[in-house]
Amino acid sequence: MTRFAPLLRHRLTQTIAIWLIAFGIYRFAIQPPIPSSLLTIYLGITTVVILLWVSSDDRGLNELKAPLTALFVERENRNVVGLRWLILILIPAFVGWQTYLRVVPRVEAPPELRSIHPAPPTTITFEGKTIDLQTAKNPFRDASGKPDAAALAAGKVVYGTHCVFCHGDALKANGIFADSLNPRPADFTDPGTIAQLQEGYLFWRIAKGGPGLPTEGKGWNSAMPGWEGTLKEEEIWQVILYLYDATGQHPREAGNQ
Amino acid sequence: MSRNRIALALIATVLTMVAAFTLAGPRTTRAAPSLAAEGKTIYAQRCEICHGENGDGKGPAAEIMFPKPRDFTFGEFKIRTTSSDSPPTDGDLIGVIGNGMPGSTMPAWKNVLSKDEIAAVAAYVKTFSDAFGGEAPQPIKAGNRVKPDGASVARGAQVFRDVQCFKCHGDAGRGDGPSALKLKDDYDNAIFPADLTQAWLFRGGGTANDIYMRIMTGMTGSPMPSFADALVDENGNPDEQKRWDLVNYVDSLSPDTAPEPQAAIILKPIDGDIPTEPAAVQWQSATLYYYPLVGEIMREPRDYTPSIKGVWVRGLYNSTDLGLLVQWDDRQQNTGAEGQPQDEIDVQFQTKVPEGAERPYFVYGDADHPVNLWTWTAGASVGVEQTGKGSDSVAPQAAQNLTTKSYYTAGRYSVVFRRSLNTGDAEDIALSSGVFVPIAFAASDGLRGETPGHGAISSWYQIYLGKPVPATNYVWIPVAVVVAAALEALLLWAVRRNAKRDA
Ligand code: HEC
Ligand code: HEC
Ligand code: HEC
Repeated sequence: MTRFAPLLRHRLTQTIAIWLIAFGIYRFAIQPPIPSSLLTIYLGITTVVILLWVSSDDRGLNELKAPLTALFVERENRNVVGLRWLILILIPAFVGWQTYLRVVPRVEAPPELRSIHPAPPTTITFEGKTIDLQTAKNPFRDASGKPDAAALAAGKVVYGTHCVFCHGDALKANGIFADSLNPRPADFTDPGTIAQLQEGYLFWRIAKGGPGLPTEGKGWNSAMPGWEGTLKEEEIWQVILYLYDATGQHPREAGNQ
Repeated sequence: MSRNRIALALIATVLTMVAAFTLAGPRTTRAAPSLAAEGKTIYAQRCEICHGENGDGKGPAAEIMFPKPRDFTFGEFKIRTTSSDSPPTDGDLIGVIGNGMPGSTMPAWKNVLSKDEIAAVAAYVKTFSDAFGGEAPQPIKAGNRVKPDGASVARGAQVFRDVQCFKCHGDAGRGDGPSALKLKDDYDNAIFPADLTQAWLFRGGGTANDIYMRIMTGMTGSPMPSFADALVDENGNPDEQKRWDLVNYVDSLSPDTAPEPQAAIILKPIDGDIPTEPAAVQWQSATLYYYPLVGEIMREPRDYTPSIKGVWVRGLYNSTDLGLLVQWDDRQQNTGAEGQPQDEIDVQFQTKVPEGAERPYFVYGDADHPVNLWTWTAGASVGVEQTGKGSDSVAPQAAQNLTTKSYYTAGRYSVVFRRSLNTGDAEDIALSSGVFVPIAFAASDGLRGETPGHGAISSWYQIYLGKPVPATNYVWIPVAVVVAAALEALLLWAVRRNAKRDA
């Protein structure tokens, strides 16, 4: 400990330490993270303040200057001379590199943000029949919400013959097409998907697919097919039973949205 | 008193040990059947939908799949480390169930089931056939790998010709050899030789070790034979050098994992003309982009098993024109003769540079958001500009502004599309530098009966014509370096002068 005491009391060490701590606070402790331009300004001000503080008395100024002077003046010690040349070369090189990055800008595609669960319509027309999504109930659940066993088995077959290529056998968005799609198919085992939704919402999504989404859902990019015309109304309710049963999730209760 | 206690403790210990032994004894002898019984439950929940209740590969989902789920009653397994006439080891089965079979619908179960569950379901799979009745099968031994340098790869290419891999896999390994289209597997289903340039779709994995095992053990049930007997020295012993040379050659044809699709194709302007020939050297200077395709299953009739898995794209542009070189693997050239549909590729653009976030539906646009298609068909071998307003309403445009040139060699199409950046036609995308324009790809393979709109398609990506960087921008780099060096020199001089004065 005592060996390090002089080092700790040295103004150069203190300057570097305070600067690093300030950087750590700005960069990691402040949430949400501040933009890099602001970070640069904060660090600039901090640097000036620290320098003013250390150089406010002679001792501080000397301690700060001494190592730098030594580095710049030394003629005998080979290591110090080498270090001097290294620093003298690295600084302009760094400046050149930074200038290069600024004059030759890199382009990056703008991120594609989409709202995953946009508000559903209140009613939809399915095969000419109007379905109220708010009040729609899965006909294959009894009063306590327990699924009908035969319907569940039928739902598994619907899933295996229509959904498996994208959503995958394990319902984890692991089908063979999944990696090639953007956005990826929904991962039904993720608590952020079907567990957040009412069964009526799922009926809408499965019946109308990507093209049925409002603008904020960006359905034009979604490979989720609309199954109206292929699956019958019962089959959609059956596959919904299976999605919840196989993942152990539960639909959100109506009026709880 | 204390002696009593010791006696009591001794008796208790002996009793516990006896109890432990008697309870543990029967459990070890019953282990095998109960493992399979536990596997049965998992099988019913996870595997039955494809492999069927009786393990005969006739689950309800089997119909739409190609290749078909395995019929376990044959006792034939492709992914083995054992010689061609023996069943796989337990480790092989556990491995293939865990890793899945890429390029088929057989999923990887290792992130879904625990190690014990996989071992259990593997034990259950074994009960469907009597192939596993005999002694535990032994893995074959591979010699040390020969260093995969250029010389080894070149020798391997010769072995590839000598033992006639090309008959099935084609001269360049793209699965287009002379016998490629006539093959059937043991279940009487058509099967194609693997495209060796896409190792990420190998059923048994794309590493050099995987490839060694597939070549030496064969893939039982499929036409892929074992070459263990062909790759021997004059005394009939395994010729490890020859074997590894061949493996190194096959391994050199492809990366092990699929290339990552980039969000945007970013092009740099060039000074000269845009080449029209697909073989022109200028294309080599353009960055290569890969985009995977999926089956068009967004509407009926759905193509669940598209044969074209991806396209490779390079682009070049100058002050007047854009050129795209699009390449994809296809086992046969189908020009529309012989009653099959013709092969086709489409490059899709959004017709207008998007202002808001709204886009056309990625499957050939929609009524409100048309797409501009650059379509090339193998029959006429020319490119046509079309407008798409949905998959049922794609029609050629009145004004045609596209130039194309193409060729087909060794299982691969190469097509160059060239068009002026701005044609003045309202139905065409007007391209200018510095903006992102949505782009997508679609391909159909006549061999598999695919037609435009019922083949393979990609999601929307973007293309960006980079703004030329004015030469004057570069001047700032030396200026900045010189200024930095001058400031340093000044500082050095000042510090030294001060030091001298102080001393
Ligand atoms: C071609 C691939 C594909 C197929 C086949 C497919 N889906 Fe999807 N599905 C997607 C994609 C991609 C998404 C995510 C984008 C979106 O929400 O539209 C999605 C989203 C969903 C969602 C919305 C989940 C949420 O949290 O918002 C449901 C529900 C769904 N799919 C059910 C099904 C069912 C049931 C089937 C079979 C009848 C099926 N999907 C078949 C690609 C597919
Ligand atoms: C979505 C359909 C599907 C599901 C679900 C599925 N498989 Fe498969 N499986 C396949 C297909 C398809 C093949 C054949 C691929 C080929 O031959 O190229 C296959 C092949 C196999 C093979 C043969 C491996 C070899 O070496 O030849 C085994 C073993 C296997 N599956 C086990 C399982 C087990 C165990 C499960 C359940 C945990 C399961 N599969 C679930 C589709 C499926
Ligand atoms: C009689 C035709 C035939 C010949 C000859 C042949 N193959 Fe194959 N090969 C196939 C078929 C068919 C497949 C696909 C098997 C499958 O998917 O089940 C295949 C698959 C492969 C695979 C992929 C393995 C995997 O894990 O999917 C490799 C690698 C391969 N062959 C290498 C070779 C090499 C090297 C040779 C020559 C030594 C060769 N093949 C000779 C027909 C053939």
